[in-house]
Amino acid sequence: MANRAEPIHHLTLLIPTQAMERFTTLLQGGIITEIEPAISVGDYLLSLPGFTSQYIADRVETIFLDGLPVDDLTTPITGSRPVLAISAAMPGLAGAIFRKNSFHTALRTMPLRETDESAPCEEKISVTLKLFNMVAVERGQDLFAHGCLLRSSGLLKFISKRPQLLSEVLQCDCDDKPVTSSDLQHVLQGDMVFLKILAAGDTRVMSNKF
Amino acid sequence: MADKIFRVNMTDLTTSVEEVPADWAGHGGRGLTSTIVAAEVPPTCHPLGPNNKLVFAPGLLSGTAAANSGRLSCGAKSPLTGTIKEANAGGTSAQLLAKAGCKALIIEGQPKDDNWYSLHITPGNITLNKEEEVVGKGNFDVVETLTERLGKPMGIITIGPAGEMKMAAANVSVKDPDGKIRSCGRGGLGAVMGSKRVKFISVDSMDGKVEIADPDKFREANKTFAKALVDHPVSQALGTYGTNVLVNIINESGGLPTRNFSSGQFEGHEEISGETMHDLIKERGGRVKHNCHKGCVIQCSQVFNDAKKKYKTSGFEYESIWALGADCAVDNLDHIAEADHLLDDIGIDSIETAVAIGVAMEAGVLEFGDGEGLVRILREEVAKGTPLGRIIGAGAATVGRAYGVTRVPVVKNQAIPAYDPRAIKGIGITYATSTQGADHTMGYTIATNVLGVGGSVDPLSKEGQVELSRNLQIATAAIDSTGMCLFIAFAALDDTTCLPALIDLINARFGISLTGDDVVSLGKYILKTEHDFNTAAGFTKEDDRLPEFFSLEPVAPHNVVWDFEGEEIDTFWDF
Repeated sequence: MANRAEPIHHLTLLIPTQAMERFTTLLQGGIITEIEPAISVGDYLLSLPGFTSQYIADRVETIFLDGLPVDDLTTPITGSRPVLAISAAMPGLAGAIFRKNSFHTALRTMPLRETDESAPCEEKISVTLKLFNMVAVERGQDLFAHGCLLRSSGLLKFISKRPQLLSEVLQCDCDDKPVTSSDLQHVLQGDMVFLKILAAGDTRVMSNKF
Repeated sequence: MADKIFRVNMTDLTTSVEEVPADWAGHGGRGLTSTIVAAEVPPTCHPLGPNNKLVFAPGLLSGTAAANSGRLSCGAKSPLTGTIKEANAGGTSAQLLAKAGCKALIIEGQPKDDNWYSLHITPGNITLNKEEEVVGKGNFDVVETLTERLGKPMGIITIGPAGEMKMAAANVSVKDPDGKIRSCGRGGLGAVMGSKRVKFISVDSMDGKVEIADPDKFREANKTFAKALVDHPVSQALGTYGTNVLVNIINESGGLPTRNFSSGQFEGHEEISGETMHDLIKERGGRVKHNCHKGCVIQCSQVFNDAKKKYKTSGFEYESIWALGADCAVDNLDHIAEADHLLDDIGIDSIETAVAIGVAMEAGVLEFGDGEGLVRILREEVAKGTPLGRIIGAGAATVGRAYGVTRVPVVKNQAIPAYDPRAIKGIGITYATSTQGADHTMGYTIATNVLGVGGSVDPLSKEGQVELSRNLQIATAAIDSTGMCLFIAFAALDDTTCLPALIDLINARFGISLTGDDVVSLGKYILKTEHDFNTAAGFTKEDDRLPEFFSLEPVAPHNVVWDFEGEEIDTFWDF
């Protein structure tokens, strides 16, 4: 769980619509959400902006929970800091082996899923959700419009390696105050940041100050 | 034009164009190269000696309008593994050879002098010429020089300096539609071409065409087949991220071999992922989607530019990026791309060479993570054939022996690619039992159920896993004979029209009536032919094993080991 003693800054970026796809790559590093203990993978995904049963059935073909493939959407998310990763269908024999309910699942290694008995009984647990490839692109805009909690270090590393992408940001606010891109180093000193990214043509922009 | 066998004898410097023997008529691609090698090469011969033969064969559907049918197979006894070998690549030559009526090209013998030669193929004719101008040159320079010299677009098959130096990891390079390089990568077949002292082969089809027995049926089948490929979601992912889309997923599974197979996850995976690569390509004006041969509708290739927006490499594959990246702990895509470019230019296998460098890193030759050092070793050592360069160019097993390293990820001396067999055991069975050393493409994700080779035992048992691997290898061997790219497999898994349409294409091309059973029989024949060759060459079931360290060293994060017993693996050949 993040050190919540520190204040979490709210960072909002307004970007051109065409830059959104490249920002969604940030989601490969994971966002952090709080969930009820033992909620199922399916119910959790359904609670995310833009996810429907149809989408999960048709597009979310590969799911890992703490590094182990998930076939059954009723699998509960447990442990103190679970990591859930989701992806579209993947190529190769390995991609087929890890697809949910694939003909090739027999070729998996099957380590036992460990349950963390020592995990404290908390009202909420913190799950890291990683979104890969087409799933990130297709659902990233909704997630960013809603806002995502993520590690500041991850965001800093992401933008430091993509100066061109940063230069395309139209407006940047931190806690409702305008900041420049050069201020980001200071703003992102905390452990976590709550990030919203809005595409300039997105109607949801109307509900914000932009 | 009727298909012929084109033969070159490099000992007496003669050429001939022969009728296709009846036993070879139904074969193409891997099925044909393995049939010819098994028939004409003494299994115990030295791979670089006069008795080995290098065979090129387009697939059964190459040269036609069938989608994704432009793979060229190359076969011989491998100097890396000592087994029979087939490697295939895209590029333009498979289609041009087929249009020139070349069913197979066989290069045999060895010159008595030190001259280099080139071959030129036209319909019904093959000529042999002395070559000086491009000898010693890298592949990019060879293709550029020859394109200017030949004066018209032609197929070019060439070797780089690694092949000339007969390095056991040298590949055979094939010009692609952009004048860049595709590789018959594995098993050191470039060294065999170098041992024949053939620097390049040019192919001019002179507007030749492949005859189709039933054009209407062919057109209809191709329409169905292409639609199945285009519509499939994996094809869409491949056209967006290439095969490198796998980095994040395999890392998540704990199956991404890292630091010479000492871990299953790489902390720098985000820096080398398909998603990051996609963004860099877009920022730098490269091409996200690109084909390695005409008629490919999946377009998993891409053009990767450097920071100055200049071409750096294309066909930037997951396995190469993994090997140069995670396995060597290099998290800089520009260093990896530079290395990939050099490997193409030198003409050496990107998997074998990079895994060899990973082993060398473990030995202390270079620090893990030193991308600049890796590039320097390729440019200054491997390309120039220094003693270190030759050790690395001889492959991972040689590096392990030279430096006393015990963690050497090879089977039958060929480097294990990109998927840790402890974390993904089914792939480990294929690595162990493949007739050609560790190779991830030997047992591909073919819809064995559609072909009627579904399992008969509990698939979750070890026996069931061996059976499934066997069935996948049988089906893959058959597909490898068609000239088809293996990426048709994804559509074939999910779209029941895809494989039947492929069989319809073959039937319409030749006017025959193959069934799914015939395709399975073909696959079995190929595997058994290859296995028999290896047995005669001295290989035993003890060679069908993974290296010991996979059983001794649990791999993080799941801390699993390879736990198949030899007797369990040996059931693979019970068919």
